[in-house]
Amino acid sequence: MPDTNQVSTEPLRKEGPITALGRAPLEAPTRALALLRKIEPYLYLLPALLLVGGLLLYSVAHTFAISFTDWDLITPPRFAGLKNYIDAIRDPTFTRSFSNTLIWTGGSLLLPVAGGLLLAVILERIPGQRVLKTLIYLPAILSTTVVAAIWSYVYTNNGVLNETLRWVGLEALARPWLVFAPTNTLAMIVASSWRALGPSMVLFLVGLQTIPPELIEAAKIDGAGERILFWRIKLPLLRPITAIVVIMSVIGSFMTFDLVWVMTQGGPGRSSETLAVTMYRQAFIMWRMGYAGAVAVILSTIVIAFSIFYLRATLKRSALW
Amino acid sequence: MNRNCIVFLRQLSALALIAALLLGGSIAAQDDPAVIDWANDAAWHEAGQDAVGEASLGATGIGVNTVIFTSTDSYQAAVRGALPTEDAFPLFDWWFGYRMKDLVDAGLLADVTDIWQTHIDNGGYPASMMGSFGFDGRAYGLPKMINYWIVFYNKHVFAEHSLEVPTTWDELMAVAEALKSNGVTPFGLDVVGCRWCSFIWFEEMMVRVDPALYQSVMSGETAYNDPQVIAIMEQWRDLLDAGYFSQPGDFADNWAEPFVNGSIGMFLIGDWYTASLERAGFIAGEDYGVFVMPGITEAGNRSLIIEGRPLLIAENSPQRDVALEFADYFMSVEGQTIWAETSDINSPSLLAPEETRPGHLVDLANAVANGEYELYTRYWEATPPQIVEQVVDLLGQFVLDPASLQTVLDGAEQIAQDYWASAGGE
Repeated sequence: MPDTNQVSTEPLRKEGPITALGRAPLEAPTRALALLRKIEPYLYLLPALLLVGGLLLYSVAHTFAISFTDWDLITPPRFAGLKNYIDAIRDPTFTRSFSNTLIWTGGSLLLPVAGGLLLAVILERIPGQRVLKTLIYLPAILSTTVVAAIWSYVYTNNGVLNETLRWVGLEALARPWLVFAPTNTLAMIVASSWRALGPSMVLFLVGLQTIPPELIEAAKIDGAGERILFWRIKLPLLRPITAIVVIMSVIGSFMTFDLVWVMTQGGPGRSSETLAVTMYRQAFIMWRMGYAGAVAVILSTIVIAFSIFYLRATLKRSALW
Repeated sequence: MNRNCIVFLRQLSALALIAALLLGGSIAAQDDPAVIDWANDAAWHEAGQDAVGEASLGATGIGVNTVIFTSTDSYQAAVRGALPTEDAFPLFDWWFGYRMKDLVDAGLLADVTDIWQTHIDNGGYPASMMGSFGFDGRAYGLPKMINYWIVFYNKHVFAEHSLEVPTTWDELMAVAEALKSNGVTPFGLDVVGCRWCSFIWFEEMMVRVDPALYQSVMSGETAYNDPQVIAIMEQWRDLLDAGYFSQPGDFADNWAEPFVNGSIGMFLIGDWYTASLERAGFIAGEDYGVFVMPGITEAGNRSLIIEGRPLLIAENSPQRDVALEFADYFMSVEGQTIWAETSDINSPSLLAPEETRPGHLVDLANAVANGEYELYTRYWEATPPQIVEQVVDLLGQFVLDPASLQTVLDGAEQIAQDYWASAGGE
């Protein structure tokens, strides 16, 4: 009886290579068929290539090109050199958007990332975790617009938050949450984190489950308490997951747009604008496509640079890098 | 069928599929010349547009295909991007005044002065209306919607506190004081959820005191920080300081609610607010009434802010002439009657049957036609958007912090000067 586990290469040599369209015979193929067979793999790649090439690479190149022009969509673009970049850097609103974006980044690291980790560690070892996990994850299935609408009501002067504060005797803390900076930005970060907490918690829970139990057992035998276990064992072993959660949060915070747009439109008085809102506003309200392009290039450069440096630093010795 | 054949057919099918995908767009783009696209960003116009299109198909042989964009910003980007090309939407809604000026300057809009003139001569539209739809005596847009900015008041609240509709500024202030002392917020104003709303009282105070000064500021001849403007803004500041306005952050996204439940007595807004109140079950004449804000000076007594939604025709569209023919039908009594009956929008035509229009708005339209009011274009469209879009943010700051008046007006003037200096060279 032949060994079925033994892989033989003999039939392949006789019948030619296996392709997705079946095993192609070698005997007397027509020239057209041979050509088609040669380009066949590329045909399967074509939709993806068109999507990536058309939607991403072309857009990136186009945005970069228009960032050096003055263009209002209805008259031909005029070359403007570095004017848009200089205007952006000198514009006090750009500076404010930049600092608001940094607040968003800090807030996103503190609440969804640190909060998600804390929840994961707590939920990992308490009864009824399934129900709690579901409840915490639930907001993640809502669209940003819905989240923004819900929290807009929460934050009105007579909304749930202020009414609750008054009810529990903390009236001094009640305030118009979306009106003055930086409270409005912080309030929106809380709204955003309400939605982002669940996914990061789940990622950390998955990470915690991949830690070999024998390591934990060994540490316990060596006398490690919960604190030592967390800081010396779990946290270092969660590094790849932490890196992913941090990167996703930071990129997300730099791209913050929809929630701000729905809740305050960057206002009042542009006080809660983020870089993405500034970019959108310049493009689709002021029709300064070149200026918006420059903001987009600056924004993307920051995000890409951060991602590269952070991943290199964090995952240097990891299999992920 | 041998294996070669099967493989070949499979590969041919894959190629055919890709070719079909690539060619699909161009096949779908072949349009019927008698049906023209009519684009806008207002889904609630769809039924009315479709109905007018159907009627027009019967009457003129020209039908319309309504194209709705759900986002105003993406709509504007799509229209602007296509306007210089032959792919431009032949018919599309826009914003009037300065919001269409760059399109006019770039030669992208068809001249519709003749259509206007025909229907003005027929008595369908007041001649004073055309000026807001064009420049230098020529019109480039037709009135799809006309709205006047008026004060809505809650009749139940007024009755409860024995208040009458004010006919002078002093009476209005007395009403505001009475409402405030009874725990009712006199005027609703939201500058947090609605960034542009900050201009509502700016323009109204200006035209109630000195409409000529308002126009002069709009055209860049008078500075935002001119002493006369400062004096008017100080009057508004006094009203803010007196606590006559709702507090920033009071609203989420439903303005009608506090007005309907009586926590706000009055609302200064476009007459399109009628539809919001109707949706909230508030009936005109029973639950609420309207009045034109009294002038602070004699000159301000006859002012009325007008907002128009123009219907524009793309100069570069191959269907330009067909679109002009349709536009003529749309302006006619027949077109406007169908539009008013099916769109839930108040027809701007004076000849549209009165039963298709809310009574209080018919009275107002007749008063305008009788020359009782001078029309002034809404701030949003009365001056270049490059100025407006920045000044509304400053005015929002002023509402939040009335003490910032001078800083806000200085900032606004800087923005205006920068724009007019750069526009002057063009």
